[in-house]
Amino acid sequence: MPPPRTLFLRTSTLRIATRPIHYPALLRCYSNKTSPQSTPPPKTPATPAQDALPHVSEEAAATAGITGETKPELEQGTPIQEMINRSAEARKNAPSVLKTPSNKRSYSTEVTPIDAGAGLEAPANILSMSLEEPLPPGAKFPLPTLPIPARGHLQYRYSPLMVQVTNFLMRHGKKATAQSVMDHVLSILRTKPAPKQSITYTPLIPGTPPLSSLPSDPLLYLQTAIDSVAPLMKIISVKGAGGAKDMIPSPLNIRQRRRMALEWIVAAADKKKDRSGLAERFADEIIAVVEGRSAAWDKRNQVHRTAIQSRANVVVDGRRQSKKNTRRFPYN
Amino acid sequence: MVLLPLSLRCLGAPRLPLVLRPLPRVFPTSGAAASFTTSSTLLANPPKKANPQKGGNVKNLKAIAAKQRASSNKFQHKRKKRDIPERKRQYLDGQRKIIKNTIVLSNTNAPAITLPEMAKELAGNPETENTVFEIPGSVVDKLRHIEAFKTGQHWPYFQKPGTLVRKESTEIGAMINAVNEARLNKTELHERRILDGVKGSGRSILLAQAMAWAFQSDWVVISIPNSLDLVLGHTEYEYDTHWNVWVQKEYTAALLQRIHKANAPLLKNLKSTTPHRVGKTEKTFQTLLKLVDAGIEDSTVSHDIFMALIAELSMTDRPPVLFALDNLSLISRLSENRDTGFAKIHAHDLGIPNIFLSYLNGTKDFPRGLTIAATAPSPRTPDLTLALKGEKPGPWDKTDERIAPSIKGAKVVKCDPLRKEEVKTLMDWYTAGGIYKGAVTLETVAESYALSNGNPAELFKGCLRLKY
Repeated sequence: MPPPRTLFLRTSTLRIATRPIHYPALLRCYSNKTSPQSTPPPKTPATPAQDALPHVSEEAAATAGITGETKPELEQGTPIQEMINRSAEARKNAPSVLKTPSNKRSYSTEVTPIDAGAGLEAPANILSMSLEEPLPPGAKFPLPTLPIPARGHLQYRYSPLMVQVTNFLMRHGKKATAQSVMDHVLSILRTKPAPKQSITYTPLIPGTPPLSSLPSDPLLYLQTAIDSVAPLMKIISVKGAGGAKDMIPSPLNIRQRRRMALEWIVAAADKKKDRSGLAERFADEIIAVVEGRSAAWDKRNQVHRTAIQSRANVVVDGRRQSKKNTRRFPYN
Repeated sequence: MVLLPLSLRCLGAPRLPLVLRPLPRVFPTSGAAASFTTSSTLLANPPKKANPQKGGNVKNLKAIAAKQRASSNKFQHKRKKRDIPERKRQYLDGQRKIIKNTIVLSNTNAPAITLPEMAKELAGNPETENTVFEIPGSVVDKLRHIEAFKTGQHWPYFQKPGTLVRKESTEIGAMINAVNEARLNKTELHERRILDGVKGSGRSILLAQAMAWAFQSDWVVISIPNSLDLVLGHTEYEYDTHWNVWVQKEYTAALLQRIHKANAPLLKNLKSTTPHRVGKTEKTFQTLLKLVDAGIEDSTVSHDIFMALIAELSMTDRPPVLFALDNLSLISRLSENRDTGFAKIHAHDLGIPNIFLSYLNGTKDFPRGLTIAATAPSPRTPDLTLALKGEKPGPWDKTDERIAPSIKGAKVVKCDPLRKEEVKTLMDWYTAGGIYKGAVTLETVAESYALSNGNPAELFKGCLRLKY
């Protein structure tokens, strides 16, 4: 069967809805996981229903539905370790991994809900940390941990989004000025009150953390705004038959999407009546985007509406296999 | 033959003499007349005239004229009707300066941290070194009034103002303790110090710490938060023949206002019996607060009042005084103020720097107190730099002879770079305050230490911004 002609039925686009929610703070690339000094994972979960594998209970519920037994509680999932402890039969049939105690944490942190203050307190053991590290024999300085992380390179030490926004704000090649504007923007985002949840529906990107926690991570704040308002495609108009113009939606890559979003945001910021400095205007517009007030949303909706209307114009090459989209927010 | 036309003219009507004849307005340009210059005539064609015999006709001309008139009327009409929206001004007068100088001491988004309070009992205790303290709420307002907090420091990022106590802090704290003891024993002790270091090394913060402890120990705190205001030529100044210095009355009135705000409860209880010269009269004020108020109300006598206040505080039974000045380098050179001969006035000839320096070099003394100054990173003041090192300038150097004696006898406190342990303490604090998001490990501490070179300001910037 040939693939569907419409772009919106592509598997890659359908995946967005079914993707589990990932809290971006956990995917931050600058947390040093391999370091020996990093804190060990806590032995007990903070909440009882932290397991990322809810299938056990769901499966048991389905079986119980067939056999007519009492279903397990589905509202609050039962951790597997508790189930094994409860039942002797389960203990017998359990895989050996679960029987032998291991130092691995017994739950997944993938869906750990984040509260604003979590992870900000200093762990206790660093207070007693010695600052002199024993060197390996023959080494003059401590050896680096390999592989060197992606942002460990001097030229690529900032987040790609940060670099793109800075370069977008730059005029006449004055990068240092653009960087100081960027600094100002981020410090405004850090110190202004947290954005309010909009009353109207604002399609913020899935994976957005609670809005109250955004000011504590200004770059994530910026990223949430830009990636949420970024259009998925642009409209190319081509001369069609009979002199008519055909609107053809064309997908954009992540950099192109962000650029479109930035153009709209800056245009909306420049239209504001009280003309303050660039940093203030831009930061205010970022807050407006997250709160759903920005004019950038109208532009995005317009592009998407046109794309849906003209979806029949898309020509899909059936022989080409598109790669599965494995990107998760926040992309880096 | 030649004389014939002349003779004929004599027979005609009398004419005006030649000299009174008006010059022709337009020189003839016909080919017959000689050109005034040898250069060619203008290349542009003369405007075309409608010639009825060459195609154009009068009717057409009239139509064109009517059209032009109509269009010009239309244009005028449009100009009248168009309402130009009055554009809102970007900033009002002085608004930018207010925004620029606003001190924000709290970020409500930052997580709350529990820190020990910077109590006066802890001043000078070596065990408190390398610990971050919170500035007590009662002192914060006073420090704000006296402008101890500066823009560009770390205050806007934390929920409550906190500060690291370092070796230099305990040194200053020990001095405050010593003066407090002298107060109990009714002996005299006046300490004089200059805080020196590179840009961002924490001199101004150290001044703020000294003021925090002094306020808690019930001292009178007089602070000149930025001596740039005095020497920039932006404040009013005039020569005072009584004090033989250039006085800045408006600035002094503002200074008295700050002194009032920060020290009012203390000054209220200090009685005064001595008459003071105020303008052309002599007056006695019941309390020192009333004395200060007189200077605030009438800025023309503010300098007299300020001098009277200093004289009162120099009496034996007065509480200790902290006399502080930030940016000493700026008053160790010529100011931008000009005298009547348009020569630059030396900063030492300005009223407030003059009296401050006389306390700094020990010409005058408080019975108990601390006079403390902090240097500035710029401008370059070679005379001051040499004087701080205790060196003499070279024989061919252009020197300012007044600088070295002005700080004579004041001891220098060097604000050294942070130690690695202090870097770690600060990074822990930044982590708790939500500034630094990475893990505090051996590598990250070493990295921040190396990148900042132990400079507190650079360390903060690095932790705040580097990992974006």
